[in-house]
Amino acid sequence: MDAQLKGSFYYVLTNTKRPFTIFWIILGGFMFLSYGMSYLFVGSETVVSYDLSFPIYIFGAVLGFNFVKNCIPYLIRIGSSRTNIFLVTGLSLIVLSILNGLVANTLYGLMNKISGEVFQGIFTIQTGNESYSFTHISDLIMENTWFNRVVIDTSIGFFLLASFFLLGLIFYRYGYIGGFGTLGLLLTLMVFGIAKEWLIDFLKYIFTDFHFTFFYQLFLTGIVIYLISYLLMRRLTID
Amino acid sequence: MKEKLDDRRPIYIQIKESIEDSIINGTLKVGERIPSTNELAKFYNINPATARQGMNELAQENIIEKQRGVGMFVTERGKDKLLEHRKQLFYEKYVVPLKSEAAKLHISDEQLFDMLKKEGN
Amino acid sequence: MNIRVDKLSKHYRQKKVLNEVSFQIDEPKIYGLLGRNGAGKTTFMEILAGHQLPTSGEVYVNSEIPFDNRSILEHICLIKEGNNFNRELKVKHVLKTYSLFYPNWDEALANTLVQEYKLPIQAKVKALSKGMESALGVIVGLASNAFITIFDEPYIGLDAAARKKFYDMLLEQYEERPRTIIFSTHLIDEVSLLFEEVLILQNGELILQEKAEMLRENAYSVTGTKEEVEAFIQNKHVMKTKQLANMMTAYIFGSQVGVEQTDLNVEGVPIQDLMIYLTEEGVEKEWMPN
Repeated sequence: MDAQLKGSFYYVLTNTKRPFTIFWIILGGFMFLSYGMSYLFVGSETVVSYDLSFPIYIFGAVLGFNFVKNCIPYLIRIGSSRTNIFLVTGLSLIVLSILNGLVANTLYGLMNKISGEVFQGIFTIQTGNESYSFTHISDLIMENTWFNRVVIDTSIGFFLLASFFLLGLIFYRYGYIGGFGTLGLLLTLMVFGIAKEWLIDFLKYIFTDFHFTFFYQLFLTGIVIYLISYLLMRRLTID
Repeated sequence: MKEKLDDRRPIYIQIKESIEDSIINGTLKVGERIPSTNELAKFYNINPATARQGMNELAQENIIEKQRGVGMFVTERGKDKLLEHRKQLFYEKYVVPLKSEAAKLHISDEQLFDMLKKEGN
Repeated sequence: MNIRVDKLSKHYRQKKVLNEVSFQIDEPKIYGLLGRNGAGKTTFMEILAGHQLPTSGEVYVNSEIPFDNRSILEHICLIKEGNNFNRELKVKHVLKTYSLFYPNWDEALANTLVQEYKLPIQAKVKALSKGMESALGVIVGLASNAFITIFDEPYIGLDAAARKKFYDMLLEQYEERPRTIIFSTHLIDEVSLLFEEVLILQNGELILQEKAEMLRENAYSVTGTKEEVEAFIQNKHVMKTKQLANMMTAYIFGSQVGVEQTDLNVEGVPIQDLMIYLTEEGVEKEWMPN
């Protein structure tokens, strides 16, 4: 492989390894802790479980946003071409979202097998006969299979990674003015969307006339967003 | 050889002088190899190009000669030439001003000669 | 590799950091880039290394523009005063990353230097002292073996012994493999003997580009009585004069011919002082070669 590509990958990998490991250790730890506690304290009457999808969305957003400051200036300084950076970053974000989806749902499936109970959704609290649960998006829509959940988490994760990466780029290149300005613009669009009702219609469409392909489309949207970021990267300079 | 070079005069001249001094006072004997430009550069922490310039000038003036693949060497002829040159410089730099200063102070040639023969130096 | 600077300008809002600078560098030498704080040196070096874009004008390396140009940039290495590395990375990862980006990377040299400077390779950059971080910068700059290696005051925190080690290494590497080294420094006296050519920037303009030996020959001071000095400096380029009672010292740029005939005391002016005199506000500069 091209030495520069290899170097860029190596750098990104080394950089991302730490937050990735720490995140999963903490998350996994809390998960085991909550399972353990529920057994220790209340027996099988009250059970708490939760799905790991939501945290990885947040993780994706944070990592995407910080990616700009952590990786890009260094790569430019060391002489990598911006096209190279663009390719490597894109691939890394995709791989990251897939990895996150896989780890999250594998852990979840494992916990299910080990504890024997079938836990539904994002989290479930069962006390006696009553149960409170906040379900995973997949439950709303279709079968709760491992593969479905991975696809959903990957696509949402990537969409968030790409969007926040773009946001991070905007902040980096145009400062607070550009960054908050963009956010304000988005907010305005959203408000308009609600007012004009087409946003509500869109959401309605997602949840009623729904196909699984939505998530593939979401993934593609993420890619489009990422392609837009190339425009910002082309003449990027470091401060 | 000088211990250190300074930034106030062209380095190649200082290198030249340093080598010339060594030849004259016998530190560098006839037939002996002169340190290479890299060795000089390392010793004095100077740019090798300036050391090279000094050496090249000495070679051009035939004071040292180059043996291909081996290095620069002191020649008998070169040493003689150097001494001659230095004697001439000595005359211009020391003797002429000496005589002019002596004239200013009204010191005669005999008195000057006596001074030269005086013990203690 | 040849570097051609063509009317290079850089503005930040109202300030002109570089103002139509033009010059050329053709041969691999050790170049000293000097000037006071704010003269534009760092900005120039950043543009050369592709970190910044000019406002107008261009820099050409082998007739190509270095910005975002991989084939050129893998032969340019810029080490700055600080902030050269991602602080979260371990030293060994930094070295590995650089080794992949610079095709002529000298692994053996890097290892030797790491040991010489006693750099803890398992430590993160942010755990290093300032001096250690600078040592890492210097190691990377030397081991990169880039055809154009640029050092922008890379020695913050390096003690005198460490700096000396750096200069020794620089010289040794330069002798083995001549390359273009651009060195910007405030500690001019320490390295002035290494310079082959000197460039001086002032207020974003290039005021001097000369061979170092030429400067050593043509920068001198004469000291004597006021009358003697004034008589001598009649048609000379005087950078500065100082006076005490009836004694005067004049700092002159030009040939020393004729000074032996006078009774004036002559001394050479080291490059550091030369830079100071030439970059003082109000010094006449029309006569300068640039």
